[in-house]
Amino acid sequence: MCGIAGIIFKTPGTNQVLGRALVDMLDGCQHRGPDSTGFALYEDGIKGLRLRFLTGEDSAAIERIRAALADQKATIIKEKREGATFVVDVEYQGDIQPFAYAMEHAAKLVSIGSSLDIIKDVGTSHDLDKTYHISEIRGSHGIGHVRLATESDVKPEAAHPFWATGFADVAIVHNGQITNYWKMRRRLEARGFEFRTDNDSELIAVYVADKLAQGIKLEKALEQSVDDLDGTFSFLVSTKDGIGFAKDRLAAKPMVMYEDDGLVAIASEEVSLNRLFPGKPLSTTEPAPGTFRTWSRSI
Amino acid sequence: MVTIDLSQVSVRDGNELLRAAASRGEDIEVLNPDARHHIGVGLVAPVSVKVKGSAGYFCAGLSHGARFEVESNVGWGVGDSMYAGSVVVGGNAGAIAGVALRGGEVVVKGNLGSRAGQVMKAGTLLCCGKASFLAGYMMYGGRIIILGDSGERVGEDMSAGAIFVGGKVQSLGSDAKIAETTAEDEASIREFLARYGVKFDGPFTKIVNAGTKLRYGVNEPISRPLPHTVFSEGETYWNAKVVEDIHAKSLIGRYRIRGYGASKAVPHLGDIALKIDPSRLSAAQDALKTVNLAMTLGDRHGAVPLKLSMPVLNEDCTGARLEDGGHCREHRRRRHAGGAARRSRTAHLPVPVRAARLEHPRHAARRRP
Repeated sequence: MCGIAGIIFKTPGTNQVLGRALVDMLDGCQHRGPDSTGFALYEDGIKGLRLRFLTGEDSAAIERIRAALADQKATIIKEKREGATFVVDVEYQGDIQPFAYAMEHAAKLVSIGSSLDIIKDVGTSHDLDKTYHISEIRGSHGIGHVRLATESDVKPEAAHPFWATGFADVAIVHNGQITNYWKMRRRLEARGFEFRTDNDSELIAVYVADKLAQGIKLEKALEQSVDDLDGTFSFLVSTKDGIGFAKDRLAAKPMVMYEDDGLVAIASEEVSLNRLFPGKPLSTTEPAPGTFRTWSRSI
Repeated sequence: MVTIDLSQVSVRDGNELLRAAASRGEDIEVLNPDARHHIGVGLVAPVSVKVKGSAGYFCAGLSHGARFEVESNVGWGVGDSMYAGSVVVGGNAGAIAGVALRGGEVVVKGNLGSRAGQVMKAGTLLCCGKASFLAGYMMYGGRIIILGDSGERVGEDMSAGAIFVGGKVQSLGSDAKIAETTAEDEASIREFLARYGVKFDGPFTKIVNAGTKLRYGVNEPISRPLPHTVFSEGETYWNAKVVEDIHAKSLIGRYRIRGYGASKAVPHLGDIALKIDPSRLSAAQDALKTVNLAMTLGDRHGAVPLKLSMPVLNEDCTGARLEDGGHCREHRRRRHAGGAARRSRTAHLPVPVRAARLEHPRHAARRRP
């Protein structure tokens, strides 16, 4: 069991209490995953590219990051340590994938994006909010996850969301088990992708990255994922422009949607959606088995 | 009337209050449920509970006699293992609505999620909208009424009970069949609908178990105690059950039914994962050099090892290339050809076996003059 949640505000420039909304939604379904929590937030006002690393107390890692950035000809605009992470905004022109792999070899890279910021750690959504001040973050859309570890360790790097390696601003959160994990992983490794964990959810992120690399549109990639991935899954994917979901044909993992004029919210359980509208019965829908959908900011 | 506000107390505390009020025979109103789970679980008094909003998972589960009304939606497993009483849901229900129902009545005014009425034994589950796939999955009693479309594979692996569909039957599950709706069925359904104020005039399609699965021509024998050795040292492989199983198999030619078993499909070509992207292999590489068909057995503890090896065969004895699928084609051609060709087919089969070389010292010695 794990819990997922996603939200997109339809109107640009309004109603952008993104962090607060996701903290509440994940708190609503924290019973589905008390081990770790994570957020992929699309923030307003990031200058250049934002890179977030898991460094813990390792100061040597920060030195390695600075050296690797210099090596890649990336100029640091701003840097800070936050919780177990090190955040750095840089000016960088060039291919993201080789840059990302070079940075990943320097330290544990969590995300790269011009608006994406992935914040994940062990603990509950309120724990993370205290450390990373998530509820103050304003933005257009985001996804989040509460994790009950089943397939790999309880550690920050195994928490969701996973960044789609090599693709700026793409992230996924997943509830389920991918049963053809090793087969798919070997295929992707043969195509030059690298894996950082044994977590089956990382596979979805890399899978989506591979499809995008081939020039396939996100919606098409989600459609193909329903055929290509085996097991039980409900996952959300987010890009710079919007969010989407895919759900397996067995519908063994729950997902509920709510949509009104102002926003679209998706979560594992209605109890998360209700956190956005306390005391109000919602008219929700359950996506049909084996379906996928995307919403973008241009709707 | 007692009011419980779930924005003020936790569900656990709320359920305690609920049970306390119910034991006094008081009706209850639950405010701000906000789709929280386990509301009203284990309530065993015949009181009325009004949930003003949506309820989460397992609402009214394990209850006995209470009458629940949920204003909006419910999550998964509404009325799970309910024994008696009723739940009326104003909106939609998530997956496994009425799972393991042991009696009572569950009425959903909206749509049902997947696997509704799974393993239900008795009682009635009514859906006024559409059901998702696998409604009535493994049900073994009771009645499901779906006024809209049935969803796919309705009645999958049901063994008893009946499903009545007012809309379209999208597809039948395995071991389910359509039967004739009797006048008694019809009258009973109409009475049920009228009792809950649901209007529906259309006809129903009745779905029941077809009786083709999990039934065998030869019955399992009535077990009788068989003599078997019992060792004083305690449990061994041989016990009364094992002996009985073997006896049953000797009589009926198959193992007795234990659970559902599992089938393993033959591996598909798509299951092969290549470590190297085939598009990166160049034609100049000699793939055969990398293949080693040799092994050594029993080379531990100072024993004389057995070395087995065989050459890599990239052509069969007929000369048809394996890469072209020639072996299979050749094989098929010969099978469809006349008797002469058929004889030659038997001649080429043992060749790869002869190609294997056995290098055990004892065999080598035997070959020497």
